Amino acid sequence: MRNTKKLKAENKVGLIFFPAFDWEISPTHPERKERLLYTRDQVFEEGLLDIEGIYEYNPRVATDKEIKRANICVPSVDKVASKSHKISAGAAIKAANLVLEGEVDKAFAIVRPPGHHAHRVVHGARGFCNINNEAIMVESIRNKYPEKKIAFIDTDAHHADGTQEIFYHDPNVLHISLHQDGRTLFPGSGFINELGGPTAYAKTLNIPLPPGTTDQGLLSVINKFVLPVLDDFNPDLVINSAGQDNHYSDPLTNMKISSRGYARMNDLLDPDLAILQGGYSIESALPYINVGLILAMAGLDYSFVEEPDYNKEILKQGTKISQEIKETINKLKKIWKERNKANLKEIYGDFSEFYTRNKNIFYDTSGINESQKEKVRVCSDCQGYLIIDSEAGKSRYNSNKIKVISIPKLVCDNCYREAIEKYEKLKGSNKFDQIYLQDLKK
Amino acid sequence: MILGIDVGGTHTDGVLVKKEITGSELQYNIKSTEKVITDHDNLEKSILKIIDKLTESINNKQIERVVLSTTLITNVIYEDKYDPVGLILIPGPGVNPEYFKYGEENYILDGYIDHRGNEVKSISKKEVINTLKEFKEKDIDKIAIVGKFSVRNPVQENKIKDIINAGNYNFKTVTLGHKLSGNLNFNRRIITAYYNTAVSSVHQNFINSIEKSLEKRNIKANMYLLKSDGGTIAVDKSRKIPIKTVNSGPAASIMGTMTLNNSNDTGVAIDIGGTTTDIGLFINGEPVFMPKGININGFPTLIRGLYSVSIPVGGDSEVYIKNEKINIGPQRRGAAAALGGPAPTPTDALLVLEKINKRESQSIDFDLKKSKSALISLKANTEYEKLTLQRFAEIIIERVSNKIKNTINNILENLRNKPVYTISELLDNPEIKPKFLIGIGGPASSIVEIIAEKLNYNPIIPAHSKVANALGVAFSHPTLETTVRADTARGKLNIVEAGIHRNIKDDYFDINKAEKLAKKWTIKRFKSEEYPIEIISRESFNIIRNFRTLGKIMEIKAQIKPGLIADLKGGNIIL
Repeated sequence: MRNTKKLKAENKVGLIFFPAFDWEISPTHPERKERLLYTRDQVFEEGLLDIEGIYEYNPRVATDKEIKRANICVPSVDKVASKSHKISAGAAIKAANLVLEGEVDKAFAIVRPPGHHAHRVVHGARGFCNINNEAIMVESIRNKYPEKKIAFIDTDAHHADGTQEIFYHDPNVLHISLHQDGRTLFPGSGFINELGGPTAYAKTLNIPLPPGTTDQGLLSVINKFVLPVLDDFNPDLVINSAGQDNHYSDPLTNMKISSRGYARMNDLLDPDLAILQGGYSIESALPYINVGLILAMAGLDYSFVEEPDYNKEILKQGTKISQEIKETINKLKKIWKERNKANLKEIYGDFSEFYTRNKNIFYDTSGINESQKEKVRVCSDCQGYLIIDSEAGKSRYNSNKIKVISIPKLVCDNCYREAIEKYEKLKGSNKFDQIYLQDLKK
Repeated sequence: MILGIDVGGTHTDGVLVKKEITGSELQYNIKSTEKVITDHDNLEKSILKIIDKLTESINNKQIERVVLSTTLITNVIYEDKYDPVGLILIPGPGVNPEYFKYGEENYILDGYIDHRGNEVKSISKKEVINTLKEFKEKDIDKIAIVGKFSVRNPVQENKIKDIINAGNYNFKTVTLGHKLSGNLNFNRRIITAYYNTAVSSVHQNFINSIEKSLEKRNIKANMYLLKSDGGTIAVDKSRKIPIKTVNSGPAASIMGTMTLNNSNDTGVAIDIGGTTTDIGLFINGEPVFMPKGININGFPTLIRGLYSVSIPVGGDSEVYIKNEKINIGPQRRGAAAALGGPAPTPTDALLVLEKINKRESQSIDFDLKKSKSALISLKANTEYEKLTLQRFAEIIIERVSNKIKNTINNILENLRNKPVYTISELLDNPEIKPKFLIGIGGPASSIVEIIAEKLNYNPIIPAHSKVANALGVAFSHPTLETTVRADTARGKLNIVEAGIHRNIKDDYFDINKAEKLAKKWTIKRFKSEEYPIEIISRESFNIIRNFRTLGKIMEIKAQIKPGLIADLKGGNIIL
């Protein structure tokens, strides 16, 4: 046999490929058994799992305790999350552990269902998500390594509203979401003025992209804005929420990214962890995107990856789109550059003790409306704790009223005492169906 | 009567088994066993020698079954003794095809089949003809043609074959990738096709010549070869895919332990040889397969094989001390010191501990004094010097046992962590709990007991374990696999192993019909004796586009699993 060039990964990659072939939301739902079938076939046929340096692992089931660190499940974890959701979250935790324990250099969890539309308080399913697998992963990481600085780059076509909101007041998590403009797609948020709370200003960044954005626009955003920001933030861990629905063939969105564009983006971002989110062009896009991503993460040549119907013409970006993207980048660059001298009083109003936001959250999958009041304690010694009032239901008459005290891991002693006192006082109250304490310091 | 012959690396073993009817029972009586040194450069000679020895006192007409397990193909590959192979590859997009150029000459054709089996881009006849001509100009007359996803649609591989048949190329061997296995994996398909082409003519010559020699001896028996999956294959059928008979040694050993210990329990089989120990596994009495296919010469293939891990520790491994640590192997410097070898070995330690049974130590001329002096001089001037010889020997055997024990634990751990893709498999993953440890091979008996005690398994040391491999060869029955894949939205049906790639005519084709087809084609291809057909995997997916169901994709795998030609339980084998 000829001494051929041997395929060997430059980076050791842990792959958690778990297509959950026996689970679906419903037989015709985009989240159906078939979703990763063609991806499996392509990955198997390409022989990617035989490549030296690419190792396959099974996921595990996330425990209730792990889930509760990120999500307040109403009324309980089991009522919100099925085994499939817990496995998806467990896969993310496992991926993170593989990297943090040095078993691999990078890990990629190709798992379903996704999680990035799940907010901290969960009354039901939104955007095919029930619990936020990545947020659960991050809290699991920080439970062991509280000081880790983490950067998310969510590249799903939908705004990662759930993950954004969970870390909205967290100065140690930079959350960047690139997505199709919220005026044209679910969940309808993710505009450049959503920048995090006063204690974490500009730690939330949103890059809405016009429908029709191609590889060219996406990669320019990565090169001109995302990479410099990452450089400044200097995270310990980079997580790519690797949604795959920006693809030109995706049935639910209007973007025009190719599988090679995805691979190139991954290569540029160089994430430690990638977690699959959405992506519903299951036959024409996912097999190729995932092969491209696995090769890119392993540091291997992805320049031969291409869809059957690939055509350079599809990927020509209109000048108007390019102009719009350029303007968005310029605005964001300015915000980022001036982040330390921003007048927070002007932006947030008075927030001397508490900063309050009111939110209305619609659960498209479950048909639930939630109204929420979130107060963050503004403290000079720590990131503060949260007080959340939430009322949700399918109608006003069968709604669930709950209250949450959420304490972060890196809370100062004062705030901790104060939060616990508040919780103790609330405990006896009969004004709520349930009162939750999310105590990450414990 | 049955002849079973196992050509091993050092020895060739053979057994002659006589079928006898005692009362109403069919019994198998081992009439004779023989052992000769394997002549590496002339395996045929070793085989004939042992056949002649075994059949000395019988009428050859009585022999109805001859089964061989040979190292021929394995040697050809490991020693690079084959002609150059030309590869025609149709990779389409994906991994850089530069990595697939295993052939001495490689041509990449522009063509493309996708994962559903759609022909996205056809190949050019002109390009094919040019490629074939170039092979001939370069004196390549053994080739393999392999396309990505060709098992889903072999049209492009077949088209090239047709062009070859229509022309006057005189290629000696042409392997088509899609004929080799129903499983996906382009890289493995290429390697498997490459090796199949590489060994083909050596294999043909070998069996032609054996057949002639048997004819001369008036042996008109059915002849079979053992495959790496523990099943036999009729010699004529083996001509098509000779690579399936590669690496049958470990299979012979596992099937041998099955013959000697016909048990339905879960257990581990170890075969302790001179320089290596092979470890295999039974789950509920059935041997376990390598998950994706065996490795040959370090390369992954699509060839089904029994799970077997070989570690470089054996009775003749050199024992030495380095950095105050006792090391065992991996090299062998010669026989045990007791037999005049240059260095102490585990066998010497066992002799010192009086752990080699009398029958064996008498049959071989061991010199205990030499063992002792080799071990004494080994521990001299080391931190082991003060230990008694007894204790020192114990530590050596402890080391050997631990190495084997750790490997067993790793195997179990790997199998338990093998990737699964459904929630039910993930949640319902029973632990593999072996009950027994069966050992064959020279120093097996005493070491098996030590390891079994550490693992809390029952030790089993069968009598006649020395000819276990030959017995396994004699008693193994054929194995077969059938993969039925139907894509009703495309209206296509593939049964790779039966060479069927056709349209589905039945509008009501479903998973049950697919299963019936899998069984039908298993029986049809099997022809002779009947063994139970087992469905080993079954999947079915709806194909939904724009909320409409377009059809189903289903895949059924059926097999005849490895097993014995007769029920040997309850003393039906007379050793």
